[in-house]
Amino acid sequence: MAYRYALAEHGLTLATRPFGRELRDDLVERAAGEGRLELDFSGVLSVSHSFVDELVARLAQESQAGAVDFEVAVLGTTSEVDAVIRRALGRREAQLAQAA
Amino acid sequence: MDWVRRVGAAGASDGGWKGDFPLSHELPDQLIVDCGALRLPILPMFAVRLRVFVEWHRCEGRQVEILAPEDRGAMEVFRQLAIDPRIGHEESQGGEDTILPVTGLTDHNAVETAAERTREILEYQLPDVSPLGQAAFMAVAELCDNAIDHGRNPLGAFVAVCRLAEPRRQVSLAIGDLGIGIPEHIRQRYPEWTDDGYAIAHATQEHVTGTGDRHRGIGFSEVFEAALTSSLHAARMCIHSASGFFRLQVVQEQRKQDVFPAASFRRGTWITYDLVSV
Repeated sequence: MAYRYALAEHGLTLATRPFGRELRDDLVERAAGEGRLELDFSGVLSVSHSFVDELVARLAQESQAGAVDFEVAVLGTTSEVDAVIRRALGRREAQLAQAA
Repeated sequence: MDWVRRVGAAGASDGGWKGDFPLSHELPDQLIVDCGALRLPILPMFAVRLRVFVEWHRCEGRQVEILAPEDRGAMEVFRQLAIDPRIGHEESQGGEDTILPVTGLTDHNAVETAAERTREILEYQLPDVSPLGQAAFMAVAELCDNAIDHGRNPLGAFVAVCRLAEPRRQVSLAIGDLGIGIPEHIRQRYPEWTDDGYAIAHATQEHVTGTGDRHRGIGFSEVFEAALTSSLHAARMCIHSASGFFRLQVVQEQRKQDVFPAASFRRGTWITYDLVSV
């Protein structure tokens, strides 16, 4: 089972730490028991580092530590968005599940 | 008696830092800022500083009158930048060199909107500087996020973004807030950094933060990282906060930083960031 979440519903650009935190808190509830959370960035053109750190990197870290009961995967990223996500993961030394 | 300040042609002097707009309770009830002699270019930091002066004193109950520039070109940019929201702001949709007029930010939604608008205009309307879109987006998003987070004050933060043609094509941002200021914020964790300029320089380093969260303190690094991965000639950031002035320049991946004692104490945090096109 997987819970897929389309981030483009929130706009073509995604920024700010509080917004990342808000989405993370929401997704922790929604994806509970699903086994896998797929963050779909299709259509998203730009992301800020703080947003990604709070949403993706922190969730990936929590998943590795067993603080949430699902793994986290990222889909549909442009090369720019992918670069920001990789830097954020690197800073937290967290990893994503293999994308489908 | 009225308080009158004549601005002269200071809109571009000294990176927009020149010209004294005091935020003092000691001033009389009627203030006049005479911008009649103002000439182009008008830099975003000048615009942000003057707008904060106007907003702060109006909030304090003073009457502030801004006499608009006599020069037609300067007047047009002055209006586009919304330096005084009472001068033609409603009609202003920005101009070809005004990417984002002076915009007050009081919450994170406003930051998101400002960052998105900056990227949109750069990428779709200004092809000569469109490669700077991602770097400008990251700068507005991260620096304004910081300003709202750490610079809490009733007025919020202000940002403006312009395209300039001289001496090279560039995108220039200015951000200002009247919050606690970087040195005071950083000294909550590092009380030994007593010199304001060096406290600012430290604050731009990775994972140095006043929050106590070891995953924070990456905003400045990411702003520079986004600049380094863009097609640009140089990036230059200046930060004036309290009595410190810090400048960081990145030219073809070479970083150079300077710390100066500021000419005067400045409440809050004020940042200019220039992205110079190839």
